[in-house]
Amino acid sequence: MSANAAAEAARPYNYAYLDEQTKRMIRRAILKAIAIPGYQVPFASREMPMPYGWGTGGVQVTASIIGPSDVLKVIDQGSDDTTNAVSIRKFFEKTAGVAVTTATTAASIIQTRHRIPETPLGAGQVLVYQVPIPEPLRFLEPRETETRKMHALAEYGLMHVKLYEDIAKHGRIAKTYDYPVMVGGRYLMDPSPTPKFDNPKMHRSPALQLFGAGREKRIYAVPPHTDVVSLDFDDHPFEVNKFDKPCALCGATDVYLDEVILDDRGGRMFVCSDTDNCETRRADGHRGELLGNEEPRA
Amino acid sequence: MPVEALFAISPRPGLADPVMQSQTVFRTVMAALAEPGTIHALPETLTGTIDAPAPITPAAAAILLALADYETPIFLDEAARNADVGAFLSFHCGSRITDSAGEASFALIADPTSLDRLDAFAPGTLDYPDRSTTLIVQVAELGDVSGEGSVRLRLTGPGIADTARIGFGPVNAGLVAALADNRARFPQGVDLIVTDGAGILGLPRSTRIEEEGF
Amino acid sequence: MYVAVKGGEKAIDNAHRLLGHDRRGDPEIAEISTEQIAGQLKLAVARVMAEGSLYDPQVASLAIKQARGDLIEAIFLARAYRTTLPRFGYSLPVETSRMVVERRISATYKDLPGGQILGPTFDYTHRLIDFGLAGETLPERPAENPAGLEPAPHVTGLLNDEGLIERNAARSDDPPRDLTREPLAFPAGRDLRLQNLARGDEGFLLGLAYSSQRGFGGSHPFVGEIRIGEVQVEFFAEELGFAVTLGRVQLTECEMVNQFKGSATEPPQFTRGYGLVFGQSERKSMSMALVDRALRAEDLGQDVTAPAQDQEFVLSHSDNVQATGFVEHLKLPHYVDFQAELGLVRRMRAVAAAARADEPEEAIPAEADDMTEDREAAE
Repeated sequence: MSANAAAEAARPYNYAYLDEQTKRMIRRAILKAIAIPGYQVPFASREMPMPYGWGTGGVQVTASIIGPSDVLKVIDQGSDDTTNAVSIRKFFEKTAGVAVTTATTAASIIQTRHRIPETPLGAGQVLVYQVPIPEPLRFLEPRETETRKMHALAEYGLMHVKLYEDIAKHGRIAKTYDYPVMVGGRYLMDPSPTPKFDNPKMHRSPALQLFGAGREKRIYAVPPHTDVVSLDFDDHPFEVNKFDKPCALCGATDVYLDEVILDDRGGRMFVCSDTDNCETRRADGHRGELLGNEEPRA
Repeated sequence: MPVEALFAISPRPGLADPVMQSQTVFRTVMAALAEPGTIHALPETLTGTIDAPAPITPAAAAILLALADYETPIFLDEAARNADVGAFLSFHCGSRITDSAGEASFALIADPTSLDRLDAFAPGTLDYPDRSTTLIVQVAELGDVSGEGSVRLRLTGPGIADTARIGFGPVNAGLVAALADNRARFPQGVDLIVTDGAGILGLPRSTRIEEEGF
Repeated sequence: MYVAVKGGEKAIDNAHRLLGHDRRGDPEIAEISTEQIAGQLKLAVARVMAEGSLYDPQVASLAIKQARGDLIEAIFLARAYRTTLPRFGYSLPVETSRMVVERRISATYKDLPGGQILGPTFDYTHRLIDFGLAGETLPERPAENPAGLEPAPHVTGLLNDEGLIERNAARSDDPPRDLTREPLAFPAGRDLRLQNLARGDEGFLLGLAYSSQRGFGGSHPFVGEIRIGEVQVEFFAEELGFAVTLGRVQLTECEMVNQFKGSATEPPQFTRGYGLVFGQSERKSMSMALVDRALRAEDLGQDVTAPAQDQEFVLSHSDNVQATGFVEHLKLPHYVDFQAELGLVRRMRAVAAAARADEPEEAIPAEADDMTEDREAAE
């Protein structure tokens, strides 16, 4: 279906649903966000036809940047098949007449909730994150008026104290996702609730990373090739979650895994969270334990 | 006012397909600001249809038509300040034309040889650094430059893998120092979109700029 | 054999088909019409219009039907529709003193110009289920006031004449702010606070208002007046040079008069709390007026000690479309984050178990149990 035909079919709504004034307002916010990496730009988030907390920020960002020549991939928990990913992908197929894909490498825009694809992103790609709580300091200081001052003065002692308390109490930083990062050496940023496993992928990525928080009305960005450093201490360096087993389907070892309960007697297996990566590996001949443990011939 | 009357006062055509062309222009500007030092071109088919009054170039006009509206006052530098330009922008964008650089969301700089300082424009506040002016700077040459009064710059910072080299001009001799001062105020500051009429170069406030000799 | 979950799209389509089927209910029973909803469930329609920020009884009725009577879902539908409508500008201030009053009561004066008019109220009904309503009914014709209505000036205006109540700020010529067009920044002015409250969840405002009466905020309110009725909405058309009438809307207005002993900056006087809501929404307008007054604590030089006085707390959490979205988003898959937490809990339990094995004398360390105490909910 051509873009015009699709837009036609979706009437009475505008291309990509949002009206042009709203798009301009969001586009301006995106440009400011890119110019001030890690700073949360307030924007007049609109009421979307899906609930707040279900990706309205990401959807508004995607709707404002997307055009007929884009190829869109939508993932939730790393997977293209989860219901909310399906629903958002369908929304853009319908309102923007855009081509969709599940292949990370084929996408020009990837909207995500909770994961960064395992396949390294390339120049020209845009990763759009759905963000529930954009403020990394929110759970330490609930007041916007206070956290805004902290960002203005780059006064992030509160976060360091909290992480250090974790170490004193638990022997480690007890934060496994939403793990705070410093962007460009200036702004403390919440990477959205991706597992900290994914944090290193943000650092100097050649892709543009955009973050949309609809309910909280904030947009922020990490331009390509920008330093994104997970907070840590010299004696407690940042480390990512590790898994004891490889993916049962494709045998991958350096990826994030989902635990799947097989029965009520403790039977469980681990499989790739990134379904595209897993399928690509299997198509290339990799086989995990469940499929007979094979590696492709060189 | 009847629609026909509006058309009668419409000075010249703007974007032929506002929805799709605004998206194209925005993506080009977005890529330019995300990758400072790289020139991003607007399609000829788009700039070719815009008939903006002098001295606005089609590319600068396209950027304003795509991004400005009634929420964004526009400042015009002396070279651009004429009735036709004002009418064109207020008609197509619905923007208010302001004489105060400090309250402008966008500033159109048609003659950058007179642009010796950036501190008259809104730099935002420490609390809200986004409340700042974006300058659209028209230059005669962009990329490989040789002309009198042009500058060659070495850029580092977000969006640049290592270093980028770019030239443009002619510009005022004080502009490079003003850009360095602008960077020193980060996160406050202004952002520049430099265009030679076809290509677009982004110079966000986050970019570190050094002048290189010819 | 494990098979990754597939076919989300088909599952969604089927779920929506079932929803449509359930919405209709028993096909032997006549389908409910939007006219019936608009005419007979008027207060539900009023709430959807008020919190949906859209005065359109037809759309609100349809939203209620589509939402199967779930009013917050209907409000959400109305809001999402509202966002797509073009915005032409803002109306002139409505003149509630010229309201065609259907109901008007004051708790501060026994009688007053314009009189006490009870109107269609649940007040003084005995809350006994009326089994007669189970069948068809033919209610009596309403009684008519042969004298007609006399002008009903605002009670606060009467108090103002005596200088006993604070003066309202002079009407400003500045364009009103609109929180649907710009993000809310704190501290927010009273115009934005009132807009936020007018759209806010009735239950949330009711609870806050109640808390302010019970000592959390120490308000001492009197209902100066509640009035319900229709007013004209006028729009000043620049190109014509005069105001044109767009139509009429039904409003409920509540003016609370609050006792105030004075503060370091303000003399003793009565102070105001204001509520204005689309439709007949007495509970909402009263709650709004109480919370408005509570939120003015800082302006009046009072200490901010209670939740209802805390504008960041109130304004950030009053919107039921935002609230329901974020609360309900917890049912979306979170297994990536949960996996990360599982790993952490297992590791920490292993560490704790090893410590116990090493030091059999020591009590079980508490960390394993309370370590998530200060962690946020999964997002």
